[in-house]
Formats: sequence, structure tokens, C-alpha cells
Amino acid sequence: MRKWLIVLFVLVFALAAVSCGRQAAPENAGQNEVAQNNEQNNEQVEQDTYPLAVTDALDREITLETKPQRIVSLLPSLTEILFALDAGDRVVGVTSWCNYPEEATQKDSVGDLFNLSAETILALQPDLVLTGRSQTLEEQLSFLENNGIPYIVIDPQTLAEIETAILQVAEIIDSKEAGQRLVEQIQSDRAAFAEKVAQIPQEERARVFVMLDTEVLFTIGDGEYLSEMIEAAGGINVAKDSGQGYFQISEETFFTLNPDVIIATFPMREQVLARDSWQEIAAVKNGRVYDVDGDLVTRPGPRIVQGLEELYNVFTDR
Amino acid sequence: MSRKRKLLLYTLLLVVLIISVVAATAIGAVAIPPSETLRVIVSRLTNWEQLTQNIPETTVAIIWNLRLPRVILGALIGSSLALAGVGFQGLLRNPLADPFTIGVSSGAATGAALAMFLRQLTGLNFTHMIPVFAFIGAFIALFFVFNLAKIGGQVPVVTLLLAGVVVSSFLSAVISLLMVLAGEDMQGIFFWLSGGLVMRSWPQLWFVAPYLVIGFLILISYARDLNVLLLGEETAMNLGVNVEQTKKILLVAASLITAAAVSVSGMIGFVGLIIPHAVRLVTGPDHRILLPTSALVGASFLVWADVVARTVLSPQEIPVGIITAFVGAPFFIYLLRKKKKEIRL
Repeated sequence: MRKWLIVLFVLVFALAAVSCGRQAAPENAGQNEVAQNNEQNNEQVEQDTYPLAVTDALDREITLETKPQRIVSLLPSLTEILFALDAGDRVVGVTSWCNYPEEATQKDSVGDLFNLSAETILALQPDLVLTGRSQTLEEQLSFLENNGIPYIVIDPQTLAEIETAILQVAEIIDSKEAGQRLVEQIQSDRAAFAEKVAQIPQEERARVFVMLDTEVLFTIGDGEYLSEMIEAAGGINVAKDSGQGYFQISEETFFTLNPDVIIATFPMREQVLARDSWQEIAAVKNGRVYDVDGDLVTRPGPRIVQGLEELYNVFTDR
Repeated sequence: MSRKRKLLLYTLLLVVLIISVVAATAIGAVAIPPSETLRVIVSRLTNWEQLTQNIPETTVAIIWNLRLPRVILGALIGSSLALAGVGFQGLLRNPLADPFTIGVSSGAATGAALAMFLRQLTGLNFTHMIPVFAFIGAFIALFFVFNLAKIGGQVPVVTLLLAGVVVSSFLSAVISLLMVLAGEDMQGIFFWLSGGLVMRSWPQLWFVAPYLVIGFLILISYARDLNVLLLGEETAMNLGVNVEQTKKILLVAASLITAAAVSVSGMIGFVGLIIPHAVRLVTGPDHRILLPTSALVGASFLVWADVVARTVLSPQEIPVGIITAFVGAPFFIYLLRKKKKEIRL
């Protein structure tokens, strides 16, 4: 019995060693290639811009010695920004939440912000990690500092912060021009959109309720990105006076608010329409319950205007 | 306890419960005058439509579609959890037992989680899908616990407890796994883990009521056997009780009640542990009195706990489990100190 156990252990270790080796080899090769290419192209620029001193969202001072070539993004909105700045080829790792653009899903996944795989990140040998905020960020990312890998916290939470975030990412990765162009594009799109919204008279704006759960009546109030999006897209978040951030609203209050439109960021339209006790609610009575694209409307990133359009279409769909 | 005193006790508790239900329906996040509340209820019960003519439709909906069913459901769930608690404590002869001890509730929660997972994955959806899955999950868990615990045709209490704890922790791991797999799409699972009466209405009430009644009737008719079992299984056998048979029936009855309760309202803690002990300290250990008294007290208790949960932070709500713990624990300690008695069965 014991003999067999030893044999089994040896086999398992051998397998593990083989699979690790196989993963590591092409990684290194890829890195060298990229590094060589960029050395030739960007030597001049690099000398002017780097070392670059950055102050991040947590007021940490970080100095980047060289232009980042292997970036790991730990936030879907930052991933979208990186790809929108045409820096997708420099991204080597993303989270399992990063589902846009399509190319991002081809990158190696390092888990998500609540459940990071430190080993995967280290194996990718990044020279920069971009991340959002989290409660335990410093403990989670202490392994990066121990290995001399810089991380920068950029966490856009409002419509206004998106543009700042884009400009900051652009500066960090040395794509300032692309950043400027992207921000100008967003600004002109938003201005055109705002004009469209301004034409809806105040009294005709849809009174909207956001559903976050089918079993408990969780919703959002002021201070949440989606609430800001609703107001910007010509709707009124009916729960905004009942609480801040995420909270559980009383069903009775929900009844008195009697929203015209119910939106959810996950499929629940059929379930809501089938609720016997809700048939008197205006949104249910008129069938105005919508499943919207959660990524578009809750992710403060470069697709902001698409998100606003999605909400606008829902609010004006009568 | 004499017949007269028993009658007095039940009448008193029943009156308290009825007053609680009426009062709880009149109280809520939205202020509605008690007279309107009463008119809505009377008009709906008697089909007397003129009575609600000048009351806004929303008010009628709030009273009839939200508050009343929720309050009645609260009473039913409270009494079932208390009953199941008495049943499990007596059956397992363990003062720490409660409706969630032997894994039936974890089975229900796993069933609910699985239903939500399938719904996200395949879009499968039908009425009562989650409660039905929860109910089936509870009984699959019971089946496993029972067969794990069985030794040569008998089900010793110790192995039953052990098997329950093992299955319970295994199922918690299954739920965690489902939550990891589903990622952020697992809306609703937290409800089943902490429990509550939020967003419940008539359909859920009709779903559980029959099982609660059946379970209650079985438990009550076995109250005498529960008493004898407290003396030990050997003594019970010598006194002519078919111990194994009785244990099986009690186990299924208490599990039936738990499964029904958990499948619509999740795992509301503390009621099933505290109420039986509190009642026992007052009435003594006779299950013939303990069972109905616990049912009545548990019902009133959860109705009021839910009133607090609904109104204390209005227009926001807090989970009722927080209230049951905040009220239940100090009250329990108070009873313990005052009675200066050991907690025992």
C-alpha cells in the first residue's frame, strides 16, 4: 500500500513539473520578442518619458523606470481602456470578468479581484499591474511589491472620472495621443447625446427602478454609477431618495414609488412579469421590464455612450 | 398543568397572536391609517367592494398583496421553526439541536442554489421552481443523513447528529462551489443563507401551508412518545414504544416542516433554538403542552421580529435574522438568569 502511495506521489510531481515547464517556456520566448521589437521602435521616446512618476487613486507614489510592455489589468473597465488605446498587444493578463473586447478574452486569466491567482500573475512576468480598488488590496497585492512589480490603482467610479482615468492610463503606457483622441471622441459623443436627452421634458422622463436581485429587493441610490447613468440617459432613479449606494428597499416603499420602468442587469424579465403580487405596478402592468447589458451600463469605461444609448432606448421605448 | 390552566394559556397566546397579526398588518414602511387597513381586509374577505371605494389602489395592493400575506407567512414560518426545534431537540435529546442541525436546511439551501444556477445557465424557469428544488434538496439531504446514520436497521441518535453535521458541512461546500462557478450571476443565494420574508406573498404561503399543518399534526400526535423518549430509548422500549419506528416518523415530520419553511423563507436563525427553550422554562418539558405553546409563541415572535425588520430603517429593510438574533439572545440570557435553572430538556 505504502509503496503505491510513493509511486503515486512521484507521478503527480513529475506531471506537475512537466506541465509547469511547458507553460513557462513560450511565455519567456514571447516576452523576449516583444521586448526586442519595442527596444528598436521606442528607444527615443522612452528616454524622454521614463522614469515616470505617477500618483494613483490611493495617493501612492509610483515611479515607472521603463515603458510598460507586459501589463496585467485587474479591472474590466481598465482592460477596455487599454484596448481602446490600442495597447491590447501589451496586455498579458486580465481578470475572468474582462469580457470585452473579444481579444481580451484570449488573454491569460488571473482570476478576479476577489480571488486572484498570485502564481499566475508572477508567471506572466508583468512589468506593470493596473488595478481597481478593493478592501483588502494591500494584503492581496503585497506579493507584487515583494517581487518588485509596480501596481497602480485607477478606479473610475463616476462619469467624470472616466475621462481622467483614460488620460492617466494613456500617460502611464505612453499613448498620450491616443488617449487625447479617445477622450475627445467620448466628449463629442456625450455632448450630442446630452442634446438628445435635453429634448425630453422633465415630466415625461421615465421613473426607473433598478433590480439587483430576484429574491431580495436590493437597489441603488445616489452615489452609484448606474444611478448617475440613469439620470444622464434621461431617466429618474425612483429609489434615489430612499438610500445611498446599495441598499435593500422596503417592498411597500417600492409600491408607492410605482416605477414606469424596471431594469435589471441580469435576465429576470419573465420572473418579474410573472409576480402575482406586482401586477398593479405600472412597469409590470405595461410590460416595461427590461434586461439591460450589465457590462455596458455598470462599467465606467470607454463604452459609456453605448451604455447611455442602451438606457435611452429602454426609457423611450413605449 | 390542569386542564383549566392549559386552556387559559392557549387562549391567551392565541389572542396575542391574532392581535399581533392585525397590528403587524397595520404597521409598515408606508403609513396607512388602521381604519383603512381594516376596511381593505374586511372588504377583500367579504367581497364587499364599496368598502374600499375611496382608498387608493396602491394602498389596497400594499395591504392585501404585501403586508397581510407576509405577516401570515411570518406567523406560519415562526411556528414551524419553533415546532421543528422542539421536535429535533426532543428527538435528538440534545439542547443544542435546532431545525438546521441535521442538514435538512442545508439541503434546502443547496436545492435553491442549484435552481438559481440552472436558471442562469439554461434559462429554465417555472413557477415555484426555487421552492420545489429547495424542498427536494431537503429530502435528498435527509435521505443521505438517515442512511449514513443507520447501523444495522437502527438509527442511533449520536450517529444521526454526526451524519447531520457532516452532510451539512459538505453541502455548504457545494453551495460555495456553485457560488464560485456562477460568479456574479448568483443573485438571490444570499437570501437563502440568511433567510427572510422579503418579497414573499400569497403563492409562497399556499405553497408551504399544507406541509406545516401535516407536520404539526404528526408531531402533536406523537407528543406522548416524545415525552417517553426523554427517559432514554431503553426505558421507552420497555414502556412499549416502538422506538425506531417513532424516531423515523418524528424525523420525517420535523424535517417536512423545516423543509417547507426553509424552501420559501431561507434559514432564519434563532427561532428554532430559542423559542423551545424559553417556552420549556415556563411550561416544563411535557411535549403535549410544549408543542402547541411553542408554535403559538414562535408565530408571534417572528411576526414582531419582521415588523422591526421592515420598519426600523424604513424605507430600507434589514434581514429578519439580525432581529431574531438581537432580540432572541438577550431574552434567552435573561430567562436563564432569572430562572436560575440549567438549560435542559
